[in-house]
Amino acid sequence: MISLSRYLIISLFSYCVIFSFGIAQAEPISSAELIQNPQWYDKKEVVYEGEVIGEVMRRKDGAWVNINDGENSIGIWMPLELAKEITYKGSYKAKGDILQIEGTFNRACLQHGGDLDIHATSLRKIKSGWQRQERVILGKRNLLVVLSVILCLILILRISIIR
Amino acid sequence: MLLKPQIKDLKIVTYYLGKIVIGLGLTLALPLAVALVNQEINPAMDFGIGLLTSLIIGLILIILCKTTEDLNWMQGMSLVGLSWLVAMFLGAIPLFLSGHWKCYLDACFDAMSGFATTGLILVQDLDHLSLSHNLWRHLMMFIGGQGIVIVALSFFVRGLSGAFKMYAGEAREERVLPNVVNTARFIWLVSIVYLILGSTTLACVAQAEGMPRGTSFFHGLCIFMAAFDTGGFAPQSQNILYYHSLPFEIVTITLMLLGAINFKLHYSLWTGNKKEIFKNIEIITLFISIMVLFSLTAIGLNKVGIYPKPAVLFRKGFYQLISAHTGTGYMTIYAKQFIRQWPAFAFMGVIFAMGLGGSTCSTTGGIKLLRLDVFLKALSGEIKRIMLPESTVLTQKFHHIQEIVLEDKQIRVSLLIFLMYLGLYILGTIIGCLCGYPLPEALFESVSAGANVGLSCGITNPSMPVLLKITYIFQMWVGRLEFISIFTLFGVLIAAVKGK
Repeated sequence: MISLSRYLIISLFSYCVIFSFGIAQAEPISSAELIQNPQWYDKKEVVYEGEVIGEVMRRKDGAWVNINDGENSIGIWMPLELAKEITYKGSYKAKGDILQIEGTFNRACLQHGGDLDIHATSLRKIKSGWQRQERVILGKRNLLVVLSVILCLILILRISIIR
Repeated sequence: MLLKPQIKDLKIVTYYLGKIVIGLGLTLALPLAVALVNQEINPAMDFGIGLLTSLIIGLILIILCKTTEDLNWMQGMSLVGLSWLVAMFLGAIPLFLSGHWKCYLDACFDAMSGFATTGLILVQDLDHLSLSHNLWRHLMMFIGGQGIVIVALSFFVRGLSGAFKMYAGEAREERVLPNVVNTARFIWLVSIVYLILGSTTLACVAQAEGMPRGTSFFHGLCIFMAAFDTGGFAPQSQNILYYHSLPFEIVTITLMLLGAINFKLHYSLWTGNKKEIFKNIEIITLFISIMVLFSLTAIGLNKVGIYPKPAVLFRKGFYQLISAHTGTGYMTIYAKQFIRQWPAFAFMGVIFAMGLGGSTCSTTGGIKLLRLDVFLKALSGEIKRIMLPESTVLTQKFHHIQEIVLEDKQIRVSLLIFLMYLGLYILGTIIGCLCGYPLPEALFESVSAGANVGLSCGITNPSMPVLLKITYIFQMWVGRLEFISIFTLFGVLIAAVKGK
């Protein structure tokens, strides 16, 4: 009886530890934390989340994708199949896909010349990106018109002075 | 006794300032065209507003202060100092209007950083900046690298004997060719030839590394302008780390080194005098300095063991060091890594490299190697004088394009500028410490700003104190123009108040 209760307590404790660890693992880690304390996460599995920015740079054995979490961008090295899931890349004209990456963090990746990077093992698209529609800012347009008129007046004045 | 500047002086300076403002305004037409082609409507209006403002101000100054008189030394020097300030205010207009800078001061900071080829940035959300604004950031570096006044000299000024006063005011005491306007044109020729070769090479590398053709061409162009002019801006927030590419790093190292070489040496090489590269004192000093400072950096990095493989240590250590020594500021690590990961020894190596800079009459900042050579020669001369019999006449020579006999005047001027740079670095460090930053970080950032490098250990960001932003702007301005024209401008302002 005693051994059974002890067994139950140990099992419950182990479950709690594993469960809470699992939750903690699933929480995305910020780029600032990774950059400021890289030694804590070196060679460990991390979850990182952010917007795809720039281009997907396909190489022979994988692809580089840079992901920005709002503070910094971190280079993610991923298999080519994973990179195919990316549709929108952040730029002036587009909001990039928001991805959640799971993978191994490297403080100074020996495979990639010492870069601080994450080698992705899985990818989840949290939110798809979109093309931005640019709206004309009326204040700028009006200022442009006013400045054009002033310039024309000055040019007329200058021509009349020369004559 | 101080002589009060006359209205005539003001008119002459203002008239030529008007010409420079118009010249600078016209350069905004390039990003404007890119914005129109790329259908970036709001950015196109930003550049339109910047262009029209420059033309209006320039024309008003020319009309009000029309003159045919030539510049004297005081006017020429003041004009240069003033031109760079005005260029900062005008260049910042399209940046501020884009909405990517927190305030106009931040936009001015980046504009001065661009023109002075520094590379420190306060831009927010750089990864979503328009192509045209990004092009303007890099174009500012290209214009500033050659010298804002050189733009005017090359294209808008003909047969002006006062041209040399403006040319010298932009920290270029050496003339490549006897005529200053021809020298300015030669500098442009070198830059344009390298622009074509360098940006094509970078574009090919970027494409081979997986970037689409159009984007790789744009990145190649931007990175060339900032690398050759030892600026340090990049189109993406991760700087050179964005590319994750060894070939890209090799090409940028080559361009940075080319940018750090004296234009006179470029001329010698272009005219077939290839032996000069092995004899030139600045090149020899650069080589020795890189060896010594890289050893310092490598020993430091090796001690903490963050880069366990020698090849990796070399790649990271050498890149940051060359970037620092040439005054470029390109980074393949994050700013915070300098403080958090790099040991004091390596940190010190980078600070020394930044402080020294590259060759005179190049696009680099800092003390410059020729001045270090003159200082060391003078020091060794003094020691020899003590050791040799009193009746000995000691003549010291060094090879810089030609055999040069070291004279007292040269020693005095070199030492003066050497000391002024040290003072500038200390000033920024003190203000950094006053703003609450630790000494090593304040020193690093101050040397980076004063020597127009652009490497950052994380202090430079939009939330840093206004006092520090203004201090770094001042350091970038003074450091780029090498003091004399700025001091002349201040002297004129003081004379205007106190003079008789």
